[in-house]
Formats: sequence, structure tokens, C-alpha cells
Amino acid sequence: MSYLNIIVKKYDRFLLTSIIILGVFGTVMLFSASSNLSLDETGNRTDTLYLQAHLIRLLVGVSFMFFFMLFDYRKLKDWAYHILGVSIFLLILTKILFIIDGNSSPARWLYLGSISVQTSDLARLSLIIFISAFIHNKREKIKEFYGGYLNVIMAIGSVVVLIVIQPDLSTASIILLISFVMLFLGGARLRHMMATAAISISAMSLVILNLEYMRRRIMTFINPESVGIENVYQINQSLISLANGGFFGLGLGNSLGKNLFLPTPHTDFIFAIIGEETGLIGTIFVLTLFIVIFQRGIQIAKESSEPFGIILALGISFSLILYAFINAAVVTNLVPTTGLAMPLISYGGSSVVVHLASLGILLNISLSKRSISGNPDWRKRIYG
Amino acid sequence: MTKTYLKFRSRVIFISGLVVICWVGLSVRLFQIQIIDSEELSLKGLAQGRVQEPLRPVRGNIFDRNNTPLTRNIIHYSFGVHPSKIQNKKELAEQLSASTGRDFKDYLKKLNSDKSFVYLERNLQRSQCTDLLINKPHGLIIERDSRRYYPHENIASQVLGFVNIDDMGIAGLEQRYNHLLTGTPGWVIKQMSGKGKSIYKTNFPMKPPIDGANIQLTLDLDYQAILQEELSAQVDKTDALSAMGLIINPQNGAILAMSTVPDFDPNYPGRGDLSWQRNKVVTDQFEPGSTYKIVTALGALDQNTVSLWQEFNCENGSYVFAGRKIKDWENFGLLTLPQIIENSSNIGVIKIAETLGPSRLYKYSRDLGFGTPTNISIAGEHSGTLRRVNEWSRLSLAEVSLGHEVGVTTLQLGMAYAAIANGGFLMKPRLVNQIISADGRIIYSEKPEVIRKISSKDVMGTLADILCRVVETGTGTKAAINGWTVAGKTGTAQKFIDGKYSNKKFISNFVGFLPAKNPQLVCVIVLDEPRIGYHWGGYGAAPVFRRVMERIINMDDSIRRFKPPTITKDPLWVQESHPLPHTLDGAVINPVVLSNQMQVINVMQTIDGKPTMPEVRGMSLRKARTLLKKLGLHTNFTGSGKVIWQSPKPGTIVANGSICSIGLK
Repeated sequence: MSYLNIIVKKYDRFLLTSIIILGVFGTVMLFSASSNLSLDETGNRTDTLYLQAHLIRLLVGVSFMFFFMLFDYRKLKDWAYHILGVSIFLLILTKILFIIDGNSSPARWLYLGSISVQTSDLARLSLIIFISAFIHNKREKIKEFYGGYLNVIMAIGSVVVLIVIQPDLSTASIILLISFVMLFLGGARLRHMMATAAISISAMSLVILNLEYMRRRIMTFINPESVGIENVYQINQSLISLANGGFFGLGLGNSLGKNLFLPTPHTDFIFAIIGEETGLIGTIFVLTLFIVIFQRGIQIAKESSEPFGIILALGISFSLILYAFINAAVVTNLVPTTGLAMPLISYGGSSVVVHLASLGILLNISLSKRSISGNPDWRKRIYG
Repeated sequence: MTKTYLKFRSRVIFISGLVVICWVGLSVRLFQIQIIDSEELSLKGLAQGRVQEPLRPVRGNIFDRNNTPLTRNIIHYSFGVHPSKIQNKKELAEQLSASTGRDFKDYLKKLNSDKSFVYLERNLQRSQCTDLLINKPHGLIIERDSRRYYPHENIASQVLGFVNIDDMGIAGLEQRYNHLLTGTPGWVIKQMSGKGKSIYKTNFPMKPPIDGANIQLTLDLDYQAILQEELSAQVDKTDALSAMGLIINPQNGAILAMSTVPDFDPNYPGRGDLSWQRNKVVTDQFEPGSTYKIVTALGALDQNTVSLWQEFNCENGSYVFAGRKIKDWENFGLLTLPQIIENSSNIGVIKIAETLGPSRLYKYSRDLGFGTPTNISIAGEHSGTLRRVNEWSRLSLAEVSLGHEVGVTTLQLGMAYAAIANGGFLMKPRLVNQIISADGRIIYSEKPEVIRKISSKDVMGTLADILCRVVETGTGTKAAINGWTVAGKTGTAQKFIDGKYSNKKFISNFVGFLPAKNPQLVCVIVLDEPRIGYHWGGYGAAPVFRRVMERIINMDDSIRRFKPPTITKDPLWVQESHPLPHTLDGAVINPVVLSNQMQVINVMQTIDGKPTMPEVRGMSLRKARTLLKKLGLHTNFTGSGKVIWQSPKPGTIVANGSICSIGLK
């Protein structure tokens, strides 16, 4: 049996390959998208300002990924409550530090020396682990409101509220959405969820109406003529860049949008630059790569024998694809501007590191899969 | 699939379904943006930050027949600012003033204007603004531009003309061939970044400018300079109002020098009198006086109305014709035709004209080109004045035969004498040898062109002999050059002022050619109102002829005293007196200047990578094949000896690796 274990205990190579392809492609595109910005900001000294930083973050992220790949994810189940606690503490700490500093900008980053960490990214992964652990531990109790559903909603709610008050409504919404989907997958009652959703949506709406920038983003989306040109500028540039690409794209490095027309070509709107330089082929390729990773995540969930692994795998995969699709939807003007990054491609430290770490966890889950119905490895039959 | 998973399966499928639907939705949306709406949206993108900038062509240059540039284009700088963007105006004004030497208040005034853009300085040469170019002050916009420059200043100024501040020709050849000289502007699309800086890219569409065509004239800069210098000297010496001079190669009608004094500096056309800018050689007519007597002489000799030995009574210097008293400058008795011309006897010429009659006198005037424009490539040519016979008075026969009542231009006079010199062919004057487009094509050229044959070679030979005697022993002795046979005729015309001929104001002129047996140069000298004493053609104009010719003979070895044996009878076949220079290995150098760097470009160099067929005729087979091989051409040959024919013709642009046929004998 130990022999079998070794064979079976193979991480999902297909997933790892997809991640590597996405990472490499993303790095190339990031360099292309950020080179002009780098030249502009450094006074033509270097075009690799952002590339260098991104590579360091990728290195850190990949280290985390391999760490979690080799780290038994089941231990996370026992630590899930502590992890969440730390995350909540960090969220509060961030807010407090910003208040102490008198910094009026959104309190999203925790500065540790020269490193800045977006605490909401940490909170998201913590919450995914927490929900998975909760569903694993409570099993059928999740269907009950008291002692089950309410408890987990309270935990989710506290995290979301802390992010709302940063304020970072987009991240809060997406974390809420991920949580709901995980609860749904975990077997929560639709009735409970609908009620919670109704409350959340009305609460969110209230917040949106009170936040100037959010209101403007929404208005820009609903009725572009009603707001000033500067508000539609970004999305127009994004569409122009995509359109410039056509089917085959202008070729690597030939984007016009990145020439300081498109604000933040290297972060939120990198997908537009991908579209411009590699065309429809490139954009569909990226989206498909995410679908492949998502599909691998589901496959890993299928082959996992315990609820924790299943829900965790599903949560991580869904979280990744949700970010990717929302980013793509923003770039294509399907939803209002959110400020969410394209996972693994956009420039942004915490996002890259946390996504890679979560993929490491996913890979670790794949290592411990145990198939009951699956086909035994064919090589075993031939050589074994 | 694990047992545990089964519990979650249905909801996972549901969520997966949603994800796939989202994926499809996004893909459709991307397809819509990137394919369906692509064109419309990218047009919107193109409009932003894409600028079409004009590329100015370099103006073509004008060269003399030896490819010495008569014009140049040199870089000038203009300085401008957007006044609103200048923070420290005083500092900038002081900086400019320190460099250019202009009062800084001038600059300050301009800097304080409310216009969005002002020029502070225009068309400065580099030496005037070196500091500014090295330490460019912030906000100063420097425009680099090429401007016309005339390196030889006054030399040939009226022929060349000049340009305005925008480099558009507004006088002379610059104007006449402005359309060819300017070239075609190109453009380049520049991509500006979101911050308005231009982005360096090479793959943007551009249309390179086509530089202007270069013009090679028949003028010889040295001849021109000599002529101009001597004319100026004589104008100073004789207090003449102006002087005109012309040197022609009679064999092919090429104008070698054409000058009017006083002249002007085309670099500063505003300086000096406006009339100095006129090319009076072609635009102004005058009554030539005795130089016109050759018309009568030619008519009489050609029609045989007079024999060379027939004597005419010159009436001791006083003769009444049609009720008017005609006088000679000296009292002559019996003279033959050659003697009449030699001594320029008015009475004698009138008597010869009487044998010819008005209509034949008119015919020969006409034949020699008087009263008709020569169609030289210069704008504003005057056709001269030659009234029809039916408009003549009774006196007209005498007046016309003496060179009055007719108006001629210096050019017409020169061409008429050139016809005598070359044996009877009236040539069309050539000024523009060829015009070469920027890509090396000859787009215009003037080949020697015979307008008509006037008379036989013998008659013209006789006339030339008579003209030799004018210089040897007659009125034109001051034009004689030791060791050379010079033919020529003096002319002294009273100016017709306020309805009568003036006794004080004269036009002194001389037309001559040399060497008389093989004329290579015809030179006309005209002095307008020289001081009395110099008013005689033989005293005012003839010495200028001699000095100009002496200097040219001494300088130019190609002017030979004796006829080289190869010169053929027909002037059409006579080559330029300056053959094209040859390289040592025998390949012909194309004298055409292709670039504006004033370099002579060898035909060996190719145009657009395509070789030009060189001249191989006369070469040995080995030489011809080596040359063609160098150009990447293959050779087919027949016969042996020297190459006598070749195909394609020299100067043809052929494709790489073409096969050329040559025949040897």
C-alpha cells in the first residue's frame, strides 16, 4: 500500500503547469505594460522598475506556494480560528494605524518597514480556511440557523464590516460573495442565505450611497454621459486598447494604451493591455487558463476525502476565478470599476503572494487525494 | 470522486455552470469589443495622440556645368516659445540676449504677448546661437530648418534669382523651376503618449519627402565670375549706368556666362536697387547700332547682290537718304563691302542695303532671330522690336541697316553672331543643361537645337573673315588678342530719348568670337551710357571683350586656338566643349549631382540598389566585362577588339543580374 501511496501522492502537475504558464505570461505582460510607466516615473532611467518589484513578489509568492504545497493542509483546519483571529486583528490594526497617522486615504495597507501588506487579501484567505473548517466541523449543523449558520455569518460579517470601513467596498463585496458561495456549497439553507443576502445588499447600498467615489463609479457605468469625461476616460481607454488588439493583437510591446493613456495599465487594467498586444487570442487564452485552474480545483475537490479539503479547494478555486472574471468584466465595461486585480498577472504584492499561497494549499490538497471511484494509475497496472 | 464529495456534487455543478456561463459571456463580450467594434473603437484611439508631422524636403540645388554648386541649403534655427508656459521671462530674455546680442527688452516684449506662440528669432545661423543650442533654456522651442544660401553671392545673381523667407523661389531660375526645386513634402505619423511626449517608434506609417530636383546649368562659374568682374570694372571706369555681358558656345548654343552689372546679393535681395535684380541680358532691348550691320552684309552676300570687290562710294562722309543726312564717323571714299564693315561706314552699309531692299533686309533680320523671342529658359524674355516692312517709313531701310529703329536683346545679338560663328545655324540658347530628380532621373534637359539654317557655311565664312578684319585693322582693334584670330564687330548706338537720338548718351557694344576659324566662344559686351570717349564700341566695350577672353583663354585649356580634327561640320553633333570627366578605370562618372551634399555621384553607385548601365563603348572586352561584373551584370558579347555598341544604352537603369549585350570590332 505504501507503494500505491507514493504513486497516488502526486500533486496535480496539470495545475502546477497552468500556474507556471499564467505566471510567466503574466510577468511578460506586466513588463510590457509597465515599462513606459516606469520610464516616465524614473525619468527614462529604467523600464524595469515595476518588473523588478514584481519578480521579487513572485519569488516570495512562489516560495509560499511551495511551502504550502509541502505543508499538510489539514493542520490549517485546527488553526483556522486562530488564523481568522490574527487576520481580524490585522484589519483592526491597519485601520487604527491609519487613524493614528491621520491618513485619510483608504486604510488598506499595513506597512512593515519597506513591505506593505494588503490586509484584506490575508483576511480573504483566512476566511476561506475558516469557512472550510467550520463546515467540516459543524457538518450538518450548518443547516441550522442558530449554532451553525448564524455563527459563521457573524465571523464573515465581522471581516466584511472591517473591510467596508477601510473603506474597500469592492473587496468586501467579493469576499462576501466568496463566503456565500462556500456556504452554499457547504450545504447552507437557501432560505438563510437569501435573507442574509437581502440584508447585505441593502446595507451595501446604503454604504455605496454614502461614498462619493463609489457612487461615481456606479453612475459612470449606468450612464456615462451624466458624469464628467474624466470618469469615463479610463474605461474608454480600456475599450480602445482592447479594440486596438483585434484578433491577433499588435504584438508584444506594441500597446499604445500603455503609453500613459490608460491609467494603471499594470494593475487593474493589465487585461486591456493583454488584449491590445495579444488580441482576442490572448484574452481568451488567459480566461481559459483560469477556467483550467478552476476545473483542476474542482477535480482536486472531487478526489478529496474530507469536507475540509473539498470546501477549501472549491473556495480557493472559486476565489481565484471570481477575481479574474470580475477584473475582466471591469475591463470590458460589463460591471462598474472595482479596483480588483487580475490574479497572478496584475502588479500588486499581497494579491500575488496570497493567490500563490492559496494555490500552494490547493496543490497540497491534490497530494492527499484518495480516489474511490477513480481509475487507478494505468502505469501501475503495466509495471506493477 | 470520493464518497464525501457526493454530498457537495450538485451544488458544485451549479456553481461550475455559472462560472462557465460567465466565461462564455466574457468571451462573447471580448469578441464584440475586439472584433466587431474593433474598427470603430480603434479609430477613436488613433485620433488621440497621433499626430501627422510634415517632413520638409530639401530644396534642389543649382550647379554650374562643372557641378560647382551655385546654391546651398544651410541649417538655420528659429526660436519660439509658448509665452504662457514661461515662468521666468526676464531670465529667458537675458539668456537669449546674451547669445544673440539683441536687446533683451525686445525679447521681453514678445514673451509678454498674449499669443499662444511667438517666434523670438527666425532663421539664425548656428554661429549666431551656439549657446542656446548647447544649453537649451527650458520652454524654448527650437525649430531646425534649411534655408537657401548663395555661396557666390553676386555671381550669376540675376540668373539664379532668389527665394523668399519660406524658401519659395520668387525670381530667376529659382522662380521658374520652383515647382521642381521644392520637391514634395512627406509626412510622418508620430504617436504622442498620454502626457503629450512623442514616442519613438519605427513602424509608424511615414511618407518620406522627395527632395527637390537639382539643376545643372550650362553656365561656367569661372567664366561668369570673370565676365562679371570685368564688366563691373568697366562700369566703374566709364561711369556707365549698367553693363551686360554674355558668353555663348556657338557650336551648341550653351550660355556659358550671362551677367548684368550692377548686380545684387541674392542672400539679401532687399539690399540695392530693384532694377539690379533684372536679368537685362534677356529682359531689356536696346538699339544695337553698328553691330547690326552684319544683317545687311549677310543679306547682300547670301543673295549675291554685291560682290566682295564691288566698290561703293561713301560720299566723303555725308549722304542724304530719304531726305535725311547720314554721316560717317570719318570721311570715306570708295570702299568694298569688307572695308565698309571693317570701318563701319554708315553710308556704305545703306548703299548695300539699297541693293537688298527692305523685305530682304527684314527677312535676314528675322532669320538671325531678331524680333522673336529666343525661348531661353528664363522668365520675362523680351522679344525685341522689329517692325514689319509695311510699317516701315522711307527712312527705315537706312535706319534698320544701321541698327536703329530695331530693338534687340543682348541674347539675340549673341545668338545671331553665334550663327555666323558656327557656319549658319541659328541655335536655341541653352541655359539649363539638365534637371535631375532626387531619384536620379533626368526630368528635363535641353539638347542643342537648331532653329534654322540661315545661310551657307561659305557665306558665313566670308562674313567671319570680314569680322576678323574689323578686329585686325578696323574699329575693333582693342579687342585683338595676340596670337589669336578674333572676329568681332563694334557698335555705337545713340540712345533714343524723348523722341530723338541723343548726342550724349550712347550704347557702346561689341560682339566677337574666337578663334575665328573654329569659334568656341561668342561674347557680347554692352555698356549703357558710358562716359563720352568710351561711348565708341571700340573703346568702351571692345577692351572688356579682350580682357574677358584673355582671362578665359589663360584659364581654360579646352579653348584651343586651332580646330581639333574631330570637330564635325554639323554643330548638332559637336559635343560639349567640356567632355564628361572620366574615372581612371574608364567608367563614366555621371556629372549629375544626386544628393544635396553637392557630391558628384559615380554611376557605379546604384539607384535603389539597381545599377545604371555605364558607358563601355571604346573599352576593351576585358575592361568592359570587369566593369559590368562589378555592377553585377552579365555580359554577352560578339566580335573582338573594342566595344562599338552596347545594349542597354548608357545611363539606363537595369535590374540586378541583367544580361547586357556588347558588340566589338
